[in-house]
Amino acid sequence: MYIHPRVNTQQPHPDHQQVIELGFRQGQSAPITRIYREVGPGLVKKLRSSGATENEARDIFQEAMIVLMQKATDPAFVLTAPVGAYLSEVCRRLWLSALRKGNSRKEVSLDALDASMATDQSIHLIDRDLDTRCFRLLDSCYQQLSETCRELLMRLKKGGTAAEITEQMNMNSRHTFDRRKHACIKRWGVLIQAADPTGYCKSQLL
Amino acid sequence: MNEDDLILLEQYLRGELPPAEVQKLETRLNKEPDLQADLTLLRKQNQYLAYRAGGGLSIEDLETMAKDARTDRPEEIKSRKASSGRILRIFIPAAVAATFLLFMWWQPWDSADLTPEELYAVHMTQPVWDVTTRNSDSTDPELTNSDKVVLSIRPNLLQQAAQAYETEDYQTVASLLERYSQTDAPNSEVLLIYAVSLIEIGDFSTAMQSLETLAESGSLLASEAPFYQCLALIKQGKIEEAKTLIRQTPKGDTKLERLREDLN
Repeated sequence: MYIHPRVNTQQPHPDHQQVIELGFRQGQSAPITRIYREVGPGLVKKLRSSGATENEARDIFQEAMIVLMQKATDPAFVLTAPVGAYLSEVCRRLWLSALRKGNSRKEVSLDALDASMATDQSIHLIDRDLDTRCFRLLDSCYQQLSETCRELLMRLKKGGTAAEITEQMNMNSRHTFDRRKHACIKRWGVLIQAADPTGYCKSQLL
Repeated sequence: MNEDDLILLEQYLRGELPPAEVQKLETRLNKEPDLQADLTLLRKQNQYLAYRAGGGLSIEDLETMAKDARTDRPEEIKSRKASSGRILRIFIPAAVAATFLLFMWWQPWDSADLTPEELYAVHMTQPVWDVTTRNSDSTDPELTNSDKVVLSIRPNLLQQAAQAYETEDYQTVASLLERYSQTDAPNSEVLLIYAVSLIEIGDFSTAMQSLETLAESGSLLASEAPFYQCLALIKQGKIEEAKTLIRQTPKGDTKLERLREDLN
């Protein structure tokens, strides 16, 4: 029943360290800002030449960045292609999906789309990779937790022991810590459930 | 999910359950889809927490970075705003042509000809401010009543300030943000908007204090502080001080470098 973490044996591209490790996972702004300045404008232009409006193109690019961020939350994820090529492929797939869903009234042939946004066969993406609904829910509902809850959960995840956290957060006893911890996790779950009444997030594997 | 199940699932995910307990739980998981769903969610929560605990970015951080990257391209923001109104779409080309003619006549590249007021007017770029109100978490049992009152005041003040900022009513923005900072520590974005508004209304000493706090905040917006400090000095006619400050400032974004060029 327990699902073991996936092991990726492919070699990381040099962009992996900069973008995934330093940028997304360690929160350094410089590599991410560089993507917005150096990769974003080109991809927005390509999307526009594939029939997207300026706003649609910007939204697709931002969604591609969130897809990449979602991938970065998975410790097993390794970026094996240049980040520009990866984002280009994600943008192409997202725009294709938007066209298929009829979200856009644009009449664009798929040939034109492929011509303007070259595909990279080495980048393997499945539909679930592009679906950020659950990640967005986790993120937004986490932000809605009280500061105390967020602090407690962070301290715990950073390796703090129950005794340490009880003292650091001025709690009366270990019992209070346990009660709070479980209340916080449950509250997070309740917020997700309220925003996701169909239980989509609970039914999807990571 | 009851607390006992939550404890059980946590132990299971951490691999702390004895084999016999694992077998019992897995039998239950096969029979109880709700418990299986809770496990799926708990696993996702754990992965998200591990990512954030390592310093990982949130979607909000990413939106801020996207906004920051756009702020460095004021011409793009202007053109985007223009697309919202048909009249503006006609007005912009005319304005560009008029500006070009004025530019040729005025020859502003000769910075020696620029007065401090002109230099300020050429370079002052008001940062984009987008107030996003968070859920006040009013049902959170951990919040005291006073917390709830503060949380309900804060978004209101920020929204009013953002509206005033939109209409360039900087006097109102400054006084609302001053009130806001009495109830809570302002974040870097609020500090920046507060400082810019103070510069606009001529309260330079408070603006400089606010920008110094911003510069020391270690936030993404900290790098904006020297640019607006220079503009505050320029507006006061302290060109030499502005030159000294910009010499001490490391290379920055486009707008800072343009200002550096003009000052030098």
